[in-house]
Amino acid sequence: MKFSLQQEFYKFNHQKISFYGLIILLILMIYSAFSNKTSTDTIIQNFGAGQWLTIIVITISSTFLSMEYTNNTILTLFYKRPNKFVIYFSKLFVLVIYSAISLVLSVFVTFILKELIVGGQYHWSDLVSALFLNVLGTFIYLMFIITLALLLISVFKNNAVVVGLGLFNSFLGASLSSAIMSDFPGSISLLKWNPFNMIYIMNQLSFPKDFIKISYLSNLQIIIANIFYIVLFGLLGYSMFKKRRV
Amino acid sequence: MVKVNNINVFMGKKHIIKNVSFQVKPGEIVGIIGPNGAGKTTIMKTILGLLKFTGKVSVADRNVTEDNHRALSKVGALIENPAIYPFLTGLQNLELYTEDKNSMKTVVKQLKMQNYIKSRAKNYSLGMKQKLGIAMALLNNPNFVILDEPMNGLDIESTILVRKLIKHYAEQGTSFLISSHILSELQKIMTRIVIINEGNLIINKNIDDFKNINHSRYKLLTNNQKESQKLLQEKGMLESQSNKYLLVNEKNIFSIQNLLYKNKIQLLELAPQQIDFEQLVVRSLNKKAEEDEI
Ligand SMILES: Nc1ncnc2c1ncn2[C@@H]1O[C@H](COP(=O)(O)OP(=O)(O)OP(=O)(O)O)[C@@H](O)[C@H]1O
Ligand SMILES: [Mg+2]
Repeated sequence: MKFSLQQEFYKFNHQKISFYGLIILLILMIYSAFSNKTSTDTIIQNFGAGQWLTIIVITISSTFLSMEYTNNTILTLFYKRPNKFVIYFSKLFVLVIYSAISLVLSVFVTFILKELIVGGQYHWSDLVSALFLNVLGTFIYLMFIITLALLLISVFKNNAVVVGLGLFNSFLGASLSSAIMSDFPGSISLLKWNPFNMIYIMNQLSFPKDFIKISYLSNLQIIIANIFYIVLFGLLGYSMFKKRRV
Repeated sequence: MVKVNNINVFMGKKHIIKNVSFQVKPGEIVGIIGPNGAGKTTIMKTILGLLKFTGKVSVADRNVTEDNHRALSKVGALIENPAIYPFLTGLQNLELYTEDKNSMKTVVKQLKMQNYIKSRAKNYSLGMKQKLGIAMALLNNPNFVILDEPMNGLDIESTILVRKLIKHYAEQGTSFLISSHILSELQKIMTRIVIINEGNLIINKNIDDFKNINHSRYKLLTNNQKESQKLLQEKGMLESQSNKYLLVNEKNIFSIQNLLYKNKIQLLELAPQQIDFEQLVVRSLNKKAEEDEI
């Protein structure tokens, strides 16, 4: 297991896409910071880092697995490793760590941007706990994205399809979810658990009042539902990965 | 070293490998030959525990299954296209799996890859990638190496180099299972031939035995081929013709000489037919097909 993890980290670091991901995140955060009026809300929302990261992470996750198939290296991985679980888990772990690092980095950038743009106008003591909740929500949702990306790659075997679905989810998933729920108000108690609704966790933890009205889920419910989907996608993804013919 | 016992592989409803059994002994170089789609790659993948199968595969007396690859710790393989990460250098690709840096350096040197091993693999030519794939298979002093079409894209010099290297490793006790379409290439190194057709194993023989069973034909040249042909046809002793020669069976050569003598025909040449290796294989494949029709 240790060997496998080392190997995956090594590949991940050398596959420049991880580095570019961080650069793009930085650029997009700066863009968000200067294109919108800075308020406590934009600071708490990490200058849009969460939203950008869902796109970056789905792209990186699906590439990180699909490249093993395009390079035929999946064969070597499979016969050299005692079992497939180690491989899948190592990939997952590397991607989760990457998400965590990206988030920590984004918080640093937020600190710097805030000081640059508004200086001492807002006090950190008022912002920090909400910012922390936002980062926590985003982190949970990124795990949702990672397990989803690995599952989709194992099903569709095509990077472009997975990235496309990821973009759809990030930009339109939330509005789709709201549209469905407003079309069938009688079924909200059931529909509120739909996977497109999970994205609200990113903002709901720091702005519960506003978002509970949109997601129809309590904070605890949306956390549990996200974890449920993470486990479900993880297990389904692994079984598809295991079954897939090489 | 490697025992393949009665394996069957299905893909969906398709029966791809049918009751195939063979063994690879230590130091043996087994050539696996068959037309496109015969199942060569599938057999190799099965031995590596990459496919679902029934039957038994064991390496160094330990069983290989789809879920247990422990027996493969001393096995190297190159299957179809070399498995290479383009964003890593050749050396980094090797390092990913190497257990012993010295053995890695040896392999690089043996394959004469020092000049480019430190540059990114995505800039490699086809042949350079192929050599890197072979290097990966030979890493960590393996007991058993599987090479699927190893000479793909290699120039003459590299082909000779790889051939020598395979022989060298085999002399140290490493066993090989090699598939190739270039029969003449395999012919130079293999010590055993396995012929596969439509998922069936049709021949599994020591290479010398294989050549011998097909050496029963003689070619005949006389000073009157036309007359000789007529005579032999009458007696039912003419097997076929090739260029200017008449081809006859070994068991008839004495009666044929008598026959010619009686008819005052002079014998110019009578010698075992040197048929090339490709013909042997094609003939084996055809023979099998004819038997099936009966
Ligand atoms: N993933 C797959 N799904 C279904 N059938 C497959 C699959 N892979 C291979 N086959 C079938 O299995 C058979 C054997 O294929 P295999 O690749 O083993 O042939 P091969 O002898 O290596 O051929 P070649 O000389 O072209 O490399 C073929 O009939 C092929 O159609
Ligand atoms: Mg093949």
